[in-house]
Amino acid sequence: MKPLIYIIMCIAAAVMTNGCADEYSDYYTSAEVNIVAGDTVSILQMQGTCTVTCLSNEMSWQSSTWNGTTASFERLMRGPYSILVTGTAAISVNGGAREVHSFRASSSYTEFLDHPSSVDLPMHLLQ
Amino acid sequence: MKHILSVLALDLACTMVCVSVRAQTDTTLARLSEHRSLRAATDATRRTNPALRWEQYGSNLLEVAAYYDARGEKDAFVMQEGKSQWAVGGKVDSYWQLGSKNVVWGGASYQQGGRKEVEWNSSSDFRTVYPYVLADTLGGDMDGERYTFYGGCATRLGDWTVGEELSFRAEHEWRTYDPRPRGIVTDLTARLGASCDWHDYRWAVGAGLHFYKQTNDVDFYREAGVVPEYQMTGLGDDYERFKGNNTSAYYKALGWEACVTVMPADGNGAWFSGKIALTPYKRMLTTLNALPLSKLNVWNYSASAGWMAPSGRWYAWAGMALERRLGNELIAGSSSSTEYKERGYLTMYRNHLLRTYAVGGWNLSDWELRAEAGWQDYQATYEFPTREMTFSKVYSRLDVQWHKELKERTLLTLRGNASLWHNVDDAVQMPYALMDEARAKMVQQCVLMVQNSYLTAGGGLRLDWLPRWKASFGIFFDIDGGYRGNDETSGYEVHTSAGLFF
Repeated sequence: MKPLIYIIMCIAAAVMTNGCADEYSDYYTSAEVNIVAGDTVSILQMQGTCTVTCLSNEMSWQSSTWNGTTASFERLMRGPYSILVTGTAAISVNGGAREVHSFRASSSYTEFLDHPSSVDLPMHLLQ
Repeated sequence: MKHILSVLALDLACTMVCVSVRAQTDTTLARLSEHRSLRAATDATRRTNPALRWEQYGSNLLEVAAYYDARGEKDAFVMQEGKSQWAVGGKVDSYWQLGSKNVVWGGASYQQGGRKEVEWNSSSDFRTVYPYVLADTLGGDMDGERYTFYGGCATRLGDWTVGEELSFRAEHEWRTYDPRPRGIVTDLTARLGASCDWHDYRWAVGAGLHFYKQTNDVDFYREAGVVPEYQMTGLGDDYERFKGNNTSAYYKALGWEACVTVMPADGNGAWFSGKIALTPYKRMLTTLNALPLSKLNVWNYSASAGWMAPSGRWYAWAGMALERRLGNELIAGSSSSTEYKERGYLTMYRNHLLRTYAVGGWNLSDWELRAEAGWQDYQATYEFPTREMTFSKVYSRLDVQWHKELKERTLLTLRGNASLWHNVDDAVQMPYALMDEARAKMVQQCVLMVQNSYLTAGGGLRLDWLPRWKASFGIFFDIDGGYRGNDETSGYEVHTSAGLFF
């Protein structure tokens, strides 16, 4: 009879440890979006809007303040994102004259999971 | 396992042959009174450990019945379960002593039925798997069938009692017009328990396993009328990334439970019972290579303690029951064709439902009274965008039962009950600005129904009749009706059954 109680306790303990409830409270993170240009292009000045959309719940955040070529978001929900940046930049190609172009940068899938997260997006110039 | 199966087979064989040791009329009516008293119904709640069912009743009873159940509401109390529901079926229930050392109990049932005007829910077993259901804006009527069987055995070995029990439910729900959900549920619970008599008390421990599977898919036969199916994630929110065409999913769960009970060996006196259970329901999307979209951890805690007076005249106890749900949502990675990587989980949905109560019962010859009062507290939150719904209710309930033996061969039982649930506190926070009109309307209706007081009242009648020439079996007829209402809506419930008892 004592072995039977022991068996019951063992089953209970085994299943309890296997089927334990997990709780994940790491909801938010901060993120930075960096615009990068090719080797021959240097970005002198830029302005624009960066929109990040969380793919899980289609909520989006926007930022129009740039620290050089970086837009930062202080508090986003962790998850997969799609990013779109549109704006205007003053660039110089191979150290040449200053030119002003519209540009666009995007990513259809980026993960903001780390603390903090960052992503580099290549700039596409529009004429 | 072999032991359980052979005992179950023996149980069914015994009941089919109708071998009965007791053959007197008055004892038969006494048996019925014992099994159907309010006290027995209350006592059964502390005997979920199969070992404790060994001395649950002092007599045998087998019932075979056909039944019809129905409910209807003006506006649905829970729209996901439909405005009305009906079921017709047959069932067998038995509790039988085999010799002095064994008690077996078992039963089976089959029913067919349906629900009308189910809204915002295309899954089955809403109360089990909420909030992770598939939903659409159209809804409709559902047909369903269910069969169940259960069986258990308790064996006495000296001071020890060992009990085992298996209960199974299979359910099938479908709709015959677009959108066509189809849900197939398999639900199996196995329990094992043991108790030891020591110092005039029975010390019992029990453990159990719960297997659950539900396959759930929605078809559209008319291409023109396809609406998106939403993967609901709690408090009106849904998983936007996978809404639309992912209409095939399944739930799978393996849960456990454990309980401890201490009660006096003769059933009367102070007692204590505690139970804990966890069932994690995983929801997988079949069309995306079994993507585990969510994992719902359902915790159930309950504890009660009380006193049953030795004379059997009265009993009193107090208890608490808490259900906690933690919903973990998947962070799905990038996809290559339809295979998404699992990149992590977030516990977005949390809720708890706590009920604390006190019960008192009083037995005076033909009358039985049972009074209950308690407090119910509910809180549900969704992390982002922030949603919250809470309410607290105070409730009280009174049950009355009266029985009388008429002309030595007939037992008449009359029942009455009334309860009042008063909502004392509520709060809601919803991002209505982010919701479309249909969604906002659904959330407002659900919140209105749930954060409301209500009153219930009901009554029932049962007639048991023994034919003169055979004294140990008879015919019974039972009808029970109830009303539930508040300022917003009202509803009724009817249960009728008729059959044979042995």
